[in-house]
Amino acid sequence: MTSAARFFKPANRLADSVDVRFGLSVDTAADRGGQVVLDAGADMRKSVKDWVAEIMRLSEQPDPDKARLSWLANGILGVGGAAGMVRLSRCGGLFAHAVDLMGDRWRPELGALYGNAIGRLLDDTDPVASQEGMLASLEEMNKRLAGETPAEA
Amino acid sequence: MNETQSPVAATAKVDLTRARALLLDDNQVHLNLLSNVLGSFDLRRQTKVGNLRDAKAAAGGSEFDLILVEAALANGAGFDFIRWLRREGPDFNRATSVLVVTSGTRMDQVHKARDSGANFVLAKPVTPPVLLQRIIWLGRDKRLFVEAEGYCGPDRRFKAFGPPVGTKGRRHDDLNAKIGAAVEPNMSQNEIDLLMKPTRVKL
Repeated sequence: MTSAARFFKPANRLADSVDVRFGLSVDTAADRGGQVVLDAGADMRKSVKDWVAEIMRLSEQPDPDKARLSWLANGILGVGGAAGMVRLSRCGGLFAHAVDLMGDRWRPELGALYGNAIGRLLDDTDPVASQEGMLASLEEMNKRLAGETPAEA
Repeated sequence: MNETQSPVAATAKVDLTRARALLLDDNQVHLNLLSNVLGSFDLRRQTKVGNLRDAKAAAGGSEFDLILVEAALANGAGFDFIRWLRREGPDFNRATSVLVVTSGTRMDQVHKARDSGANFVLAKPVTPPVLLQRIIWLGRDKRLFVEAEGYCGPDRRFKAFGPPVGTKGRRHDDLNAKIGAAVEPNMSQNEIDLLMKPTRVKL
């Protein structure tokens, strides 16, 4: 078998920036990054709150804009997680996955379920165990959507 | 895309003041977050874009040392950008390190990122320590670059196990499976025994 593949050593321009003698230590850089995230926390929470409200509105519709829902869920996953809203972020990721799994077969009741879960996680008034239980049940629901486990009769 | 290098020591140092980064994300909040975190690492020479067209224009006009791409851009535009960069992009950016940021639940996105020519995939949510570790990992990356009909990007094989059985290797350092003729006389049994037999040493 012959192939026209060509292998070569590329110039890695980032190589000169790492493992240097003088520069920012990894610990210091990470601490500074953490501070940046903390400083941006309030703005990020506001954005996440707006996205959650939009998800709840869209989820009630019989045929919502799925691309927009995916975008919003992905935003909650990324920005919510970075802002320390770990369980809300997880829920955003699960919802993004659920939207993918449903595809064109949108199920408004699942949309409403996720909208409600995301709203409650944003409020963060339920006990942690209850929030974890809710996420676990959403995970199970996604598995059933994916056909990985049979639906209960 | 498994990590095969040692973890980053806390005392390791980086100097990203001269590095240039291109950030492609259509979520302005996430884009600003990544940008601010990179800035806190002293990587301040950044170009931020929100769509494929602007990303191509930026990559065509300036040299970058690192490119961050959001995987979930509409219609797979993030992967289209990486494929374009690797195949048709300007020479000065074709092999630039590309880090793809993706949602952790989408294995298909990880595979797409790898097959489009990304160097590494980073699952959301992105935290500063993890982002920094991946940048350091990319700086230490010594993989060869591959240009083939079906793939263009960093060598996807992280470990060298040699070419598949029955095929001729394509890497310049692939060893030939055929063993050459002996160039020195065979060792005696006594010499072989001495190699293996533990001997008591008097201290």
